Amino acid sequence: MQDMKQKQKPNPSSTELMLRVKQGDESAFREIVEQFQDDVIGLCYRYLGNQVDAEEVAQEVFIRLYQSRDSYEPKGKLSTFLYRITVNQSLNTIRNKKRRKWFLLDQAQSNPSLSDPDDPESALESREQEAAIRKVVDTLPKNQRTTLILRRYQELTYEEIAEVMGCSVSAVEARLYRARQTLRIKLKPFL
Amino acid sequence: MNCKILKRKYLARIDRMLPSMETDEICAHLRDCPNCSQWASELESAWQMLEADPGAKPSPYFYTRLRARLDSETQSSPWSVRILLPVSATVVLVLGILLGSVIGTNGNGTTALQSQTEWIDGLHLESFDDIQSTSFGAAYFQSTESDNPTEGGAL
Repeated sequence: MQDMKQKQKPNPSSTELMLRVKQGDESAFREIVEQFQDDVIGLCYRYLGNQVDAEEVAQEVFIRLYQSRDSYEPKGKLSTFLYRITVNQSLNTIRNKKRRKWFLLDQAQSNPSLSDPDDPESALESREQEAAIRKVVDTLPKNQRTTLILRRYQELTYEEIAEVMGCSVSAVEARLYRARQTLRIKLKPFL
Repeated sequence: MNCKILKRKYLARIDRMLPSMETDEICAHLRDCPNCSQWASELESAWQMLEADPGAKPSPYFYTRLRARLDSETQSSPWSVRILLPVSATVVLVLGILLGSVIGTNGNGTTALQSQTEWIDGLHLESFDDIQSTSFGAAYFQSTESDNPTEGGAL
């Protein structure tokens, strides 16, 4: 969260790094990857539901960034550009592969550390709850899901979400409102 | 503040984007309205539940794998395979056709067929015109004409 708050401030360093990448500085590209990999992989994971797919799509995101270095212009924030690519790439992956891994079994396989050997009953309950959350989030309409993920997990402001999604701030507010209402109703048994 | 306005503004409160004065109004309404109070409690709990999902962190060798993939994609250069290969094949084909036409043409600009005709003319075959129709020579020429009427006719 702290990292995200730092990124919400104007970050000239990432722009400078990208300009260095444009000039052929490979170490600058590595710095960009290290600076944004947590956010990009985390965002991919919210869509795809498992670590392996998330890292694969994150690689594609950074490859696209690298390939577009020659045409890069320091107009907007690099993080916004990256989020946009990440959202599009994740949604494309879901659409193309027709693969959803929000199920309990997949979750257990991809995150075995969630199981608590000392208290298997509460661990199971916790995993069931996580699976339910994932299922509810996954069934949200695409725009609502993206808005919710960017707000809840990436902690972007309404303005930043609007910029990433290419819509108005009021549209972001409306989507977020509907998404939260759906969550409230569908997660009621777990509250 | 009525219930409808509260529900709209409460979202901004969750996101900590509401001025303190309006926050006070919301709190006052929630104290007086049990329905809105329950609604707000459920909404906030559902929002907090999302935090339970821990998400993912990059594996230690993420950059190394990314770099390897980037290098392999750069080396394979799929665009060069897709474009340069057919172009080079076409160039080779055109060069082959040109070379064939050059080989088939002698230095004076005559074709191979013309050269063959000149060579046959050089044999002075007209000397056989006087052969008697009942001779063995005539019988031979008749047999070659029947085998190959076009060439026989030319002679």
